[in-house]
Amino acid sequence: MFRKNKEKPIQTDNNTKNTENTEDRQLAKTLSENIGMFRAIFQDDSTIIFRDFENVNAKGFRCCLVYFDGMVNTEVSNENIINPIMNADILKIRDGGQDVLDILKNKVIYANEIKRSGNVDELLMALFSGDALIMTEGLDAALIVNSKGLQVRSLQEPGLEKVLQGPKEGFSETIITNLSLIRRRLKTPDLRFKFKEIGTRTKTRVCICYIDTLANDDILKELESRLDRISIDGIITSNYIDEMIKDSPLSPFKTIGTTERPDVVAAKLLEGRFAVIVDGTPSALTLPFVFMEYFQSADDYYTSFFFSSINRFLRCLGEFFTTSIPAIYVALITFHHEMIPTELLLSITAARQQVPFPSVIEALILLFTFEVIREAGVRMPLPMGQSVSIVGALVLGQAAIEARLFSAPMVIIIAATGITGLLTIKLKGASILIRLGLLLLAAFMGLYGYIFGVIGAFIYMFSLRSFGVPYMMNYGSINPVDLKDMFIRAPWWYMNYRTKHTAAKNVIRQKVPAKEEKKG
Amino acid sequence: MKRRKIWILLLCYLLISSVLSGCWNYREVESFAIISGFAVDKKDENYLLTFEIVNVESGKDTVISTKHVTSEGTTVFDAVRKTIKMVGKRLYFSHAEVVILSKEVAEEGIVPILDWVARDAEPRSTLHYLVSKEGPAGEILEQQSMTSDVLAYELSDMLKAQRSLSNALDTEEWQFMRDMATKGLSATLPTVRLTNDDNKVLPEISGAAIFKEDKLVGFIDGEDTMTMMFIKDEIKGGLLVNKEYKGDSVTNMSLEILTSKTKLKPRYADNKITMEIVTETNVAIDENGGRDNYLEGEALAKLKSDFETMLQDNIRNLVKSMQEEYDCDTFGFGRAIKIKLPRVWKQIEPQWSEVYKTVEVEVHSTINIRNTSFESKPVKVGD
Repeated sequence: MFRKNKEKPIQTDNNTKNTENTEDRQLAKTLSENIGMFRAIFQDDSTIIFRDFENVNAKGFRCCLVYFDGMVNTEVSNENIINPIMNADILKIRDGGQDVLDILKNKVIYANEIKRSGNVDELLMALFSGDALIMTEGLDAALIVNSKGLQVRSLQEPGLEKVLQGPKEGFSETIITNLSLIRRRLKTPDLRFKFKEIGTRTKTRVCICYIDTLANDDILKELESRLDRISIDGIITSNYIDEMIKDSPLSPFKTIGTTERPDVVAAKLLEGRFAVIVDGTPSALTLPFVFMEYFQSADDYYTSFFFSSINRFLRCLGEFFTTSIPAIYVALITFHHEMIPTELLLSITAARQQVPFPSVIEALILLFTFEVIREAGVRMPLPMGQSVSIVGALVLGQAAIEARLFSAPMVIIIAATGITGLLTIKLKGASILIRLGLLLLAAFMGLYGYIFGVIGAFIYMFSLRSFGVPYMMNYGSINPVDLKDMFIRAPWWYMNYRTKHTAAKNVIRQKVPAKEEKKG
Repeated sequence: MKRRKIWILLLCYLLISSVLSGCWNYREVESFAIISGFAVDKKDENYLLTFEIVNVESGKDTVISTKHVTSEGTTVFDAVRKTIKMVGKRLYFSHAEVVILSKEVAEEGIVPILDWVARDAEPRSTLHYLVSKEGPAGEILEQQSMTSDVLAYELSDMLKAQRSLSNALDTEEWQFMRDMATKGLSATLPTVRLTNDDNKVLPEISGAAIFKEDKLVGFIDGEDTMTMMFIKDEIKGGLLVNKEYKGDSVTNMSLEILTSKTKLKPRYADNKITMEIVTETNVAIDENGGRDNYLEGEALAKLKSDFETMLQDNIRNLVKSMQEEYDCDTFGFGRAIKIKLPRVWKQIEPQWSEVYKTVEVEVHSTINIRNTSFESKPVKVGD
């Protein structure tokens, strides 16, 4: 049904139409003509600045600095561009053959990045990315001088992936900063950054990161071809790319991971995975992504393996609880009363006296309410927080029970469901869906239906793949080497091998101790 | 086309799964009446069933009380279903724990009751059965309970606690049916009666009802039941109480049973069957009512042999009365012979009830005094 409603390609390729007027256009010979052209492109736009100036020594040598207000560093443009050009003794330093722009480029301007170009398209791109242009009278070319002075956010601790111990810096919005954070952690020439530009209007810079000697070439090929197929006009955040290149696009499960932490990206690269960094997004995409990664937290690897194994196990258990508790509870109290201990059955019966709704409806209403409160908590401004907690705790909790709208055990069940769901926050969307499905099945068929649903969900999950890697990688394995980083986190001295699914080229992470080698 | 196929498949899947599943009825917990126990009496030709319904009321605090309803029917299930006329809700038996049978019902045979309880899906096979010694069974269930809110649950707790008294042998439905089906073994059920205690009427569980096939033939009291449990190797706890004589003084002594093991060893010689009953009991001296120290000298050996003699006499007497009065093989002598001497059993099986009366009994009891609890000496008295 999705295929049918897909937009028909009615637009007459807007991409080419928009760029038509600048494509392959060259600068003119006169300065005034060029300035006029830029003014015509940016009509009524007062953020573009044209700064005319002359050299003190050479009469009639006129220059024009073009840039967007707020995008260049004023100090750099004043001190390193305008000042040297104004004061240079151009006639003296001139030697035959070279034209003025080359002299400026080679001998006058202090800038770490400078380029000469006459292509209007390229010049415009430079302007958009925060560079300044120098045009001179009589030449059909201009210099692109690096003077980027964009306002950027400083590195902050990631909000979604907090850790107790371990690095506290997270990605920011600028791609170059992000790449530097990764490069700093992996001091090897094998680390590859492959850039692409996606989005016909936004021209967003996208970078594929991987370690050449570990990563699987087939996955790289597949990833590149999927990225090349994107022809959208704008990429604002990495989620645009995520949705467009993921396997099984309708699945509620993510087959591409996201992380805000450069240390996590570095660790994933060391496992032979790929990262895709998108300009303007403070998080990276990592792939292939398998189901177990939902339950792995950066903290697992930075704290003692005992403690992190307990936490890992709790997260797995939490996911089971958040998807299953309402379903099991409803199945027990509506189908399998004999399975409840007598005392408990009596207290549930007491609590359910005079409650007007059937148990399923009660569960559905409360689940809905919980999700509403959760969403409201994310959306509302901070000062209003109190009202939500009052409404949530007092009105919906206590008052609803006292008014006999809901039974107390059900409120406890839904609260437990909500809290356990927060353990694996990235799995939230899928959890809600599975929970609802299991609840309805349990309401129609009891525990039988619940088991049916669980089996169905597992069959589905086992059929998923992420870039050729089985989504439920190693779930069926009984080999302790495969299970070292699953439900528990094995100590680092045990993790001698990388997963063969992602790092087939070189699976040895560390030299196996002599003792073990003898055994094997 | 493909999508239609998926819909058809989904429809089949839902239909089949809902039809084939065992539990298909969605019932809210408050929509039925929870039965904690029921009593079976006879009224003329009909069964008279008294049900104890657990009633939960929730105001500020949850109040659990019980209500009783009596209904009459030609069959057991008939009486059960007829309660709907009075209660309005269906009775729910999965949480019932106790069934009390009146003496008349038990004398007529309890297969009709057992059959419904075992056949119906709701009642558990772990139901505890009791036989009312005196008076109608329904009356017992209608009494006020002492420690818990529900009398039937209290009765079931009393039965479970019997393991440290051994005056009644707790028998669950599956055990009773197994014993009843076993050749060379007569089944028993614990008995209950009402006692007056300080103007309060309380149910008391003690003793056993002796069955031959499925019919009640007689009762034995609590002490005999304990002896019976010794022979059947069912002792898990309890006390051995005796008076001890030393010179002029008489002392009351209690020994607490820690563990006990009994072996039945049948012998066949000269057309005669001799049953050797060997008991070995580990006990602790838990009460010394006098000032004599029984750990010194020969006192300990005397104490031991006195108790051993007492136990042996008890066993001998009980077997004798069983053989002569009731003609019931409550101890499973026949089963023991079948296991140990299968060839002999084949010969005597047809006339077992006659042979049973002639079985000679040889009792060897050993009592091992393991410790004296926290005190090794009697309480010191001095002026």
